[in-house]
Amino acid sequence: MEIIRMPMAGRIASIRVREGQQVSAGDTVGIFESMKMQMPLVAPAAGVVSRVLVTEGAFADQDAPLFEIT
Amino acid sequence: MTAKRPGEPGSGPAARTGPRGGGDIVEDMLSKIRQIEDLREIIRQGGGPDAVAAQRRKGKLTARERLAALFDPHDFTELDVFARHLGRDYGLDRIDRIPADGVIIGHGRVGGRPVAAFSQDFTVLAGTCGEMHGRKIARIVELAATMGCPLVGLMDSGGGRVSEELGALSQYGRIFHQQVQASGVVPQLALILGPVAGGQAYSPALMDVIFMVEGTATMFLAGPPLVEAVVHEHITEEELGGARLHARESGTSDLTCRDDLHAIGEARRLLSFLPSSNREGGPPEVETGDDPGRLLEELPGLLPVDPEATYDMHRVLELLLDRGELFELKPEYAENLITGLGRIGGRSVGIVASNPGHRAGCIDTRAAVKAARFVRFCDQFGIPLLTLQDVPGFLVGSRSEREGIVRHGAKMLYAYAEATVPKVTVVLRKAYAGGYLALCPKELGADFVFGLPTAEIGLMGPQGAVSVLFRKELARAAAAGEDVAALRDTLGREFRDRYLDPLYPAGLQVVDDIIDPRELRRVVHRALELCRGKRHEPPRRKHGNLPL
Repeated sequence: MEIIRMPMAGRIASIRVREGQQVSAGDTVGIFESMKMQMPLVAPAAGVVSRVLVTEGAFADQDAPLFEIT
Repeated sequence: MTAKRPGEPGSGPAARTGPRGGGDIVEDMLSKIRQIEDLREIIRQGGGPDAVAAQRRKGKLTARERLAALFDPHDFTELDVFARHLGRDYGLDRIDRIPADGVIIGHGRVGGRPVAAFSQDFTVLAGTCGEMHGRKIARIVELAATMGCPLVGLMDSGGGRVSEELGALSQYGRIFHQQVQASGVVPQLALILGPVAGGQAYSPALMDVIFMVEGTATMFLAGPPLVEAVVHEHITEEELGGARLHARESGTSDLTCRDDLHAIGEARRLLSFLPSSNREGGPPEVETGDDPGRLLEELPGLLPVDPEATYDMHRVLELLLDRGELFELKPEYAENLITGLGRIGGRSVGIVASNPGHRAGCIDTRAAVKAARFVRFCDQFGIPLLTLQDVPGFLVGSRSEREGIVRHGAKMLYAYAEATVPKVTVVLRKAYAGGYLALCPKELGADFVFGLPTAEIGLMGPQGAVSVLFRKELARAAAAGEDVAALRDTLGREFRDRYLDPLYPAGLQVVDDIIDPRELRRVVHRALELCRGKRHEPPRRKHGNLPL
């Protein structure tokens, strides 16, 4: 299982996957905002999104778990 | 003259007796030469076939093969090959000769230019450092600094030779001292091609650049057995001090390499960007065949107009530099800020560039220390600095403050302000607040600052500025039930148009010109050409107080 974590403190601007969805390595699963920039959240490996642990618009701290890929 | 075993006492000149004719003397000399050469050949075998086979099984080259790969073909001159170990305890008195005492030193040419090197031989007592071993390393470091040629250390050692006790420990100290004396005089490159354990780990750490080979290189103060005994931590060598850890977490390594040959090839390539010493006044010039006036037709399409959108600064550097070649240092550490060497018009430049694709290109503690060290690396060898800004600022927040962003950020400001080499800065897009100041603006001594038409230089971005300047108006609008978001947008646009337009800093001499992105390479080259004549004498002092 891979966990996609928040690279730095910021706000979740959008979530682009649903639980149960298949993803490939390198897919953008969401966008976060921090320090006046929008940056992608990227799947490190192929698999199924087993859990989405955040909601759009929420703030998350650095290293907070956002997605589980199994 | 009777044949004696090479190296045996009594085989010296004193053994020669009686009157002899001219022919005998020639024969004596030839015989003596044969003895010496026989011994040299024995020493060259290192630890012997079994130890060499074990070395190969680990995927490693031998110490001598590494030197052959480092230097131009057949161009290595060895020194102190006959040096003998000094330890006499714990069985060392029964060993006649430890080949080269486990380390080969000498000099040769790399790309036609002199370079000194030492290469530890793991096949000989695990490359452990005894007193003579250490003296040899200290000697070659001193020689490199005296002669003004780079030093390359090929490291592969089990640590201090316990049987030589203080003889080993003291020599580590002498090596460190010589390395510090050589720092800023000649480039020092550490290639970690096996273990580097214990006190010796500070030897690469005192050099300029460290490469580590993935899978074979390790660097730590104490290995897993001692760690387990002292702090009850069960851990592998790789987890404790492997190439990956030092490239990504500790930031001690500058480059992770696949194998010995890759590391050595990269060392040769890196040396091609560097002067032999600080006496040369600047980096060497190379014929790259890339027109400095080349237009960057693809650059406008690479830079997003949306200030919140990301892009990869590596692509910009590929367009800008000669043949797109960047020798990136610490590519896996603080990826939000790129450091490396490239060339423009055949002459080396040190690149420091924000990378908006990682952590918004902000300056966090890691990026600040990485940049500060790189700026000082370039400054000591007269390598001009080219800084590319697209920076939202220093990373804010409690985590960043606890990490000491003020103290570490100050290192970066200090390094740039202190550097006397030519400094050219380009603002591609954002240049906000402390981020702008930390990335070499005019105020910190840049010789030239150019802005692209998308440059936004200011104390803060429009969102932050509107929140501060119009706090009361926004509160009033919210209380009155008005559309606050729309008001914010309008005020933000007004602020952006007034202050974040490049004509505003251009009107204040903060930028020298606003340039067409396609002209960037030509403009930077012209500026660097003028900078060749730069003279800037720092004030007289022992040294300043870099905020460590």
